[in-house]
Amino acid sequence: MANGYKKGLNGADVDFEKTWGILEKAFQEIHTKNASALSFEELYRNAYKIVLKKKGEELYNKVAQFEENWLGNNVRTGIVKHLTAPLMLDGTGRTLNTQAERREAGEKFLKSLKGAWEDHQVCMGMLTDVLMYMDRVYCTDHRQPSIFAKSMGLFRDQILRTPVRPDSPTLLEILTRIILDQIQMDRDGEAIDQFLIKSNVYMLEGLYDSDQEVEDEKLYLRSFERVFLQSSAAFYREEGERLLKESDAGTYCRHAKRRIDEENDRCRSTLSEATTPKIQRVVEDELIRHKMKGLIEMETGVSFMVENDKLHELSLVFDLEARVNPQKPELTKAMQKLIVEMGTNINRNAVAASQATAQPAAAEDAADDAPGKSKAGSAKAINQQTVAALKWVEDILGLKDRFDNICKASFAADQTVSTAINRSMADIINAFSRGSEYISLFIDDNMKKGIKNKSEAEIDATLEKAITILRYLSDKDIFETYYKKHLCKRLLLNKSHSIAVEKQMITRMKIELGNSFTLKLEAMFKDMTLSEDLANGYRNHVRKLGDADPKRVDLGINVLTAMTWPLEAFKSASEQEGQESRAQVIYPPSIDRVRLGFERYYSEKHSGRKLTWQTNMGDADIKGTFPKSKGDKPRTHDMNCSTYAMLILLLFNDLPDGQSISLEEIQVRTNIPMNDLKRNLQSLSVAQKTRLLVKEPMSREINAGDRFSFNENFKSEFTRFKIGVVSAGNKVEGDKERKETEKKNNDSRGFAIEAAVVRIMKQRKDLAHAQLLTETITQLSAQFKPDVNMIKKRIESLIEREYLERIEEAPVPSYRYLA
Amino acid sequence: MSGPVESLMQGLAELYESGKLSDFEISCGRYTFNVHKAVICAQSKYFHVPCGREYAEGQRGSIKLKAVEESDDDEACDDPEAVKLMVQFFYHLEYDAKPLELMPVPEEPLEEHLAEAPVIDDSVPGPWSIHGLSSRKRMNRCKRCGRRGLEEDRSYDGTRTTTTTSKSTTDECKSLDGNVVMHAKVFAAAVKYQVPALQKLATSKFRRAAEINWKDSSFAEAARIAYTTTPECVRDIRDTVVKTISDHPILLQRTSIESTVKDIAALNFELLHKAYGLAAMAEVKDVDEGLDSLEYGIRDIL
Repeated sequence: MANGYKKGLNGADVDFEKTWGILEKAFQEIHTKNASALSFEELYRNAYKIVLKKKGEELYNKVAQFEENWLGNNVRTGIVKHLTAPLMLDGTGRTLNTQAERREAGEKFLKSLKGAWEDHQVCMGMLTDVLMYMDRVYCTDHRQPSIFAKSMGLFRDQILRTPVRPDSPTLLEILTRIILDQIQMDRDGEAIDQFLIKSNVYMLEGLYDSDQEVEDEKLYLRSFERVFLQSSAAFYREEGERLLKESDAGTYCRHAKRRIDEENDRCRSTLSEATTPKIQRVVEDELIRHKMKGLIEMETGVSFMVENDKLHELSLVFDLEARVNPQKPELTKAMQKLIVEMGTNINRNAVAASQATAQPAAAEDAADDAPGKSKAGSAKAINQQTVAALKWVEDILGLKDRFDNICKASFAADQTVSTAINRSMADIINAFSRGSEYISLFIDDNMKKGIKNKSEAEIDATLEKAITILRYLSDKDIFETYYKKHLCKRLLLNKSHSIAVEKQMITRMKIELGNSFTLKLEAMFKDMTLSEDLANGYRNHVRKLGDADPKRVDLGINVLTAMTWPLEAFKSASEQEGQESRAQVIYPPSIDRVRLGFERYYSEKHSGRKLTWQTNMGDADIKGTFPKSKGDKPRTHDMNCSTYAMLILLLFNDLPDGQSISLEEIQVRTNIPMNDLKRNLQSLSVAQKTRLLVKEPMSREINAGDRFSFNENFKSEFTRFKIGVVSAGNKVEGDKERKETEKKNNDSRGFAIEAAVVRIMKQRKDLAHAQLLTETITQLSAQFKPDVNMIKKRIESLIEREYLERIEEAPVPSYRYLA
Repeated sequence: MSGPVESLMQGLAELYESGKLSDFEISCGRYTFNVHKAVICAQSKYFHVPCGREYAEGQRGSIKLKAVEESDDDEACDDPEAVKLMVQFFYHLEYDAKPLELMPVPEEPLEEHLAEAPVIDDSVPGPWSIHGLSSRKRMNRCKRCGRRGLEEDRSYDGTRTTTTTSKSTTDECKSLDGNVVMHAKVFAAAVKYQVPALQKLATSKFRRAAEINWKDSSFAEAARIAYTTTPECVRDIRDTVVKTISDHPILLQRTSIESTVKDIAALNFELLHKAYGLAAMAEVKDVDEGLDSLEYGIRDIL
């Protein structure tokens, strides 16, 4: 800079040297902690003077030079002195000294560095005070770092970054290594001077990688932290692997948690809080994220914990994974796998149990004591299946309860896990082909027997169980079919224990599955109520007629809406083939009179309705009088039997004593389908306790040409008894039946799909194929999961029947609705 | 005086005048002030250090600011009057500069400007009466302060007396606050001792005074002070000097101004800059760093 001032170049220079001399001497004093005799006013004034004379830059450089010399010559040598043998590496990268020696030497070194740093801070603080004016005027104006910042950079370069001697590491590298060494000691449980390390960390945090002092380029972050995280990762990787091999899962979880907490504390007490999230991440990565799979699959892992109800340890696993991933994928996967495993087992057991026909039936369903040998066998098998069904439902519920409990107790009722558990439950329930039937059977059994002598709360719980499991079921339409069938039999055969409970169940299903689902079921109940009214009305009607014929047969009637009731439930599979147009059963006059009377009464009330008599489903109370045996009065018994049995027995009223009728004759005179006839005859002539007829020849099977006569010697200890008919109860279907049900179900699904497609197309007019598929599936999902192929077939069929047409010109396959 | 601010101000003034609880001493030239560390440190970063313990001042509990009158004085020393005003500011947030001494009559009458010169009426509140005090009241307080200073003065220098009141009344034309030189000195002290509030106040006072007293011969001295005792980056009063001279170019005919301008290259350059209608110096610095070097280059030539 040229000089425009009076004083001239030389004058100013001389003046500067003199003034700087004063300052330099004072700085010397400050650095040797000897400042208390110095006059601040004088120092400030002199620094001020230099800057006023525009020598700010020279002053700045002089101070920097001074500091550089001071640090390089005085401070560094003081620190290097403390680099004793235990701190220096040998050729193999290890020191040969013991840990205690290393720690002691390390602490000495850390102390000396800490001291140097703190002295430097204090001195530079004082220099900054003196040079306040320079900082403000020169540094600000010339975009120079403040003298304080500058001197911190000098400390970094002179102390930390200068190699101790040629070809050896810098103090910074040595410092990093020593701190890491001490931290390792801390991790191994040896006490270290945390504060001492913290002081050195403060230093690294106060220094920057460059003189620009960029916030995220602190020396701590740039040099120390990176190495720290790397070495920690290596340490925990190794430790995690070792623990997986050597310890059990519970201990592992506890250890991992402790390590994370330790590192947290370490950051607070020894390092920097800024490192907390990073080291957490490292530990989580190494001990949890990368080890979760291994941990779960340990011998003492999750499946062991579930099997042994180690809820607390499960919660530890959960906590660990929740820490690293809110989705908890590994644990969720493990839980799902367990559920599927256990569930598949239950399914397999159920199948096995239902097929184990050879096993003696545990059921006490002796009432259905089958007359024929093979029949008995199959009846037992059927019972076996019912038991299997009940067991399946209980097992599934047990499984669900178990996992729900785990979820609540160990997983803090976590949404993700519980959703996954539910999904798996649904999977295994739907994977079981007989699920729908078994659930319905479970309800059936409870309705008939299970809820006897149970409190309201217990009944409630039972119903809830059924609903719970029903919720998972995707093929609700199949369930509906079975339920209707079972309900139908319960209602008509008066097997239901409590109509109130039945209705409660319907209400629950309505809430759970929607109105449309229960519509038909409710209609069944309505029919029952109406029929009762009707029967009462008819009885009154008859009474009013004044026809006080004591012999008149009393009629109880159920008028059932044909569409609502699955009446085929009463037909056996063999019967259904080729017997659609079943011939009308022939009634004896006394019965026919009643029948016609009711038909008249009914058509007066409801004109235009056709009544079809379902004789196969009715039953009758009859009173039988048997000739007295020697010394006894004649015995009468009240018997309950099927309508068919009644018709058969009535034949014998007209038969002279000792006469017999052949099977064929009975068939001709009653027109009862042969199959039903045989079954009824079997219970009347073969079953021990209800042998009202004598069959010739005596055998268990009813064969063509067999003859029957009245059994005068019939005896029974009961005055009232029931004549059972083979297989009238609700049992698991046979294979044939199942196929039938499936076929029917597929048919009704076909209709449902067509209806949905037409509904959608009517509204949308034009629609792409893919979209139509999606919408159809959505619409039907409440009832069942439609099969895509089935939908395609139905669409084809609708096109054939000209409900729809293909849009030829459309870029994607599309359809148009034809009005 | 009822509000909290007024109460505080009154309390501070009383503390200062009584010297009660004083824990530090500032002296400069013939003045000694018993001050309170809290009050001065609250307003000046500079005083943090001598009030601390590191240096000799801290041990002694006093600081002696080297005054210009003393031997080997230079620009770095202080005018005791300016220091006095600074201390006054610490306690009153206001200061009263002593009116100008009567200067030698201007070399040439400047008719044009005399006609323009505003007539100063003592009854009109001066520029500093922002606190709502009338000039008269202010005068009274000023007297009190002065007296206090004088009492102490006598021990040092009994011969010095002040004629504050008589002068200001006799020479109304040199308005009360019109002391450009003193404002410049206070400004320099404010910068040196890092009292930003005082720096601001002195700037505005200087501007007012320059508007009124630009024709006074003391203006040349004020300009010199502005350019030699304040850093270049602190533009406040430098800009006022440049503006005043370029508003009244007739000043350049004056020998005192001429020699000042000739002496000070920076002033020289800034006037030139202004004459060519370039942006104000402060803006130049902020806006265009690139010009920095250019500017130095030009100054070198000058």
